[in-house]
Amino acid sequence: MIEVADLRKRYRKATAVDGLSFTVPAGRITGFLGPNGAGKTTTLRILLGLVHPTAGSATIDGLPYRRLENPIEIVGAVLEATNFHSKRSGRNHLRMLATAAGVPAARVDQVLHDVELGSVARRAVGGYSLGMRQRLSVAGALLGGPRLLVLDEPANGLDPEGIRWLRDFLRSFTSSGGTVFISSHVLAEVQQLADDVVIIHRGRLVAHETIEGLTARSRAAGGSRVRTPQAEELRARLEEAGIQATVSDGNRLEVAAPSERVGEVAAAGGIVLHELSSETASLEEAFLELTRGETVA
Amino acid sequence: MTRQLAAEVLKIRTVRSGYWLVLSMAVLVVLPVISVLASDAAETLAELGEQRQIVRIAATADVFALLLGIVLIGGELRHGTITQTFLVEPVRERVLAAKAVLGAVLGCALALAAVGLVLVIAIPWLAGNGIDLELGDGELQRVILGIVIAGILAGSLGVGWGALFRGQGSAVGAALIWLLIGENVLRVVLGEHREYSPGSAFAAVVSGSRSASGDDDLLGMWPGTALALAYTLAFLVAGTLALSRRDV
Repeated sequence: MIEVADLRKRYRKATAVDGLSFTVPAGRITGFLGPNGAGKTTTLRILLGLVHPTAGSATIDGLPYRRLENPIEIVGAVLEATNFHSKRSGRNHLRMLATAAGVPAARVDQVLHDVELGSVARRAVGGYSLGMRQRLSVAGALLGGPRLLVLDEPANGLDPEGIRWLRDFLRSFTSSGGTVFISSHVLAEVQQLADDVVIIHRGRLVAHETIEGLTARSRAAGGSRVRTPQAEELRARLEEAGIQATVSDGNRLEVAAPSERVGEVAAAGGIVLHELSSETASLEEAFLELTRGETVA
Repeated sequence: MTRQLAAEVLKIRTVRSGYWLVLSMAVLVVLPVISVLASDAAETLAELGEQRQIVRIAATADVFALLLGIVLIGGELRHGTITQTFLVEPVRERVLAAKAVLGAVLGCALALAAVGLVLVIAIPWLAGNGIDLELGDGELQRVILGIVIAGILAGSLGVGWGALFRGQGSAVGAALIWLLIGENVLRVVLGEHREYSPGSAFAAVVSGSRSASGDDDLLGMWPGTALALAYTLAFLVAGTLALSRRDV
């Protein structure tokens, strides 16, 4: 659905995107991650035809955005929540977009209802909270009834209720077959929401795979946690087997080996286990590893 | 193009900046007209040349047409709505074309409104002094026609000018500096060719004719109109090229 191929964007003094290639498949939620300044927003704006690439291409259904026929029927974009005239009402903002796109006026009231802004639709946007503006952005993205949503940091500045609303909304959008490509620095949010992640750093791709694959591949992953009344005995048995383990709280062990191996050693020694679980890394741990500890903000 | 034009009409209707410009223009037309009518002697007001000068006050609308054209694009750059506009219509040339057409229509409307204001004030005022405004005078009619033509061109030129800048403030500021200082500097630089400056071209459009205006520094009305049209097209092309290549 989205294909980015050898994309490059060079500004006068800096390279924002440096040979980036990835694809976003239809029907899935793909998170787009990277530290501040990694090139996420530039990539999204190139994809949406707002920024010109220095080289390479970013296409939607095989076409650059500028060549899409009535693009808002194909892709809905949620960018900064500041792109509004503060004196214009939310409804008039949407009417303006609908008129330009040839979308029936009735659709404006429908999307306002969908994002729960119907009651304030005739108020000037200047009086909207950040969350309400973000919902208005989402309403604008939905006007053309697209099957693809591209969102740039939509959780920015949202309160927990707003974030929950967004999460529920995106889930319902994908459950009806939609595709979502979402950039965010709220990693826990992406971990809960996304199927796949594309991680970039200094304009280059550093990872592109499923969340499960990424967290399992992380160095923090691959270990086990054990609770046993024979903790010291198990630790000794594991060391004999060449496996490093540390005891904590008297009856807990952290073991640098998969749970299957720990289970085998315990069984061979006749050691009772009360709990045995595999450790998986969080997306944040995997992310920090891949971006070499660069601050996420 | 029709959809884009309808959207542009909605944009300017749903914010106040356009209405403020119309109100400001009305004030700057009405006050000078009343001032001249009140200060001139009756016999002066009866002179054709003076009546043409009074009607020519409506040419103030052409400056406001230029500003309104700038606001059509500059307002979107200022508030960031240009992003949404380009998401809906990514072919930027179409957006600029719709704005240029609307700029021309609004420029025409402003000019007609200004002329209407002048006439609504001047006709009864003069009648009260036993004087008829000579609306049948060919030169006076050409002045009115010139004000309307200049309004149409200035509205479109404003869109092209505004597209050359990244913000509304800088575009309006630069336009005012040009009108107050730049134009005079250019006329000095051009020397004996000063009638070819942009401001001179527009002044020629509203002059009625060379002989009637009595101003040898200006081209005739129709050569002036051709040159003003050329400037308008040049700014529209330059603005379109600039905006099409710019990252937003």
